[in-house]
Amino acid sequence: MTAETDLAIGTKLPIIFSYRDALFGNNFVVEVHARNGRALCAREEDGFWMYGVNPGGMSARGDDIESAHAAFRQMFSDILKDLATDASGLDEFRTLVRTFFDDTNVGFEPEWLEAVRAIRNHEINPGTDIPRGSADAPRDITVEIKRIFKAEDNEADLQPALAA
Amino acid sequence: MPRIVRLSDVWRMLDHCLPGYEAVEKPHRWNVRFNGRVYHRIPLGPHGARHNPETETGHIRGLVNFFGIPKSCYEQFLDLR
Repeated sequence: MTAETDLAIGTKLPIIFSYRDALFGNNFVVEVHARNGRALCAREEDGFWMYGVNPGGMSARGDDIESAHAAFRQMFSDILKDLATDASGLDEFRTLVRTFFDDTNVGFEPEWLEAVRAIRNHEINPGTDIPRGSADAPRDITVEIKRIFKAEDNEADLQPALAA
Repeated sequence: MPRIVRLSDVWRMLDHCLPGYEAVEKPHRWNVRFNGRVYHRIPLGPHGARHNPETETGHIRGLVNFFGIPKSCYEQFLDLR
């Protein structure tokens, strides 16, 4: 994703993202794979803010789109670690993760949908080379017990996309 | 520079606009719970865990939208523009 700071204040971009995290909990090692989460990237007076839509209970800031996404990505992983710490076992962790991911930010969801419409109608020029992804792609999160460990697991960050 | 608000003002706003909420303190951050929902990781601002700490305004914009707190209520306590 290319940093782009020329966007007008008030511009909002609809982002979808897929992340993969491997982490330790209390008596378990798991891989969490979030697919097609939603976030609203807003250019505001004090920088770029990434507001989670699903998961809705988180936000992060950066000086440009790229750093805002990096901060959002890191916060997502940190929240999963918090949930792993809070959970007494795997079943409770799965429940906490799904609750976190499925909880919608109802205040920002209409703005995310409006931003998708604007992107589709070419009313917003994001001015970046962010790849496009389907805004209608199914959203899901899975928690799988990790039994096989590979070096590729270290490359868990997946590219965000502009929802269109 | 990110804009900041004082957490004491955030708690006053929540006392009035989201009665029954619970602020859960974690190292260098807060979670806010209400009706089984959680807003995660409101970080302390650049001055850290001092008396009357601050946080970045955007985190609170996210929080009020998440819990559906009306602008007419929160703007009595906070300027989130």
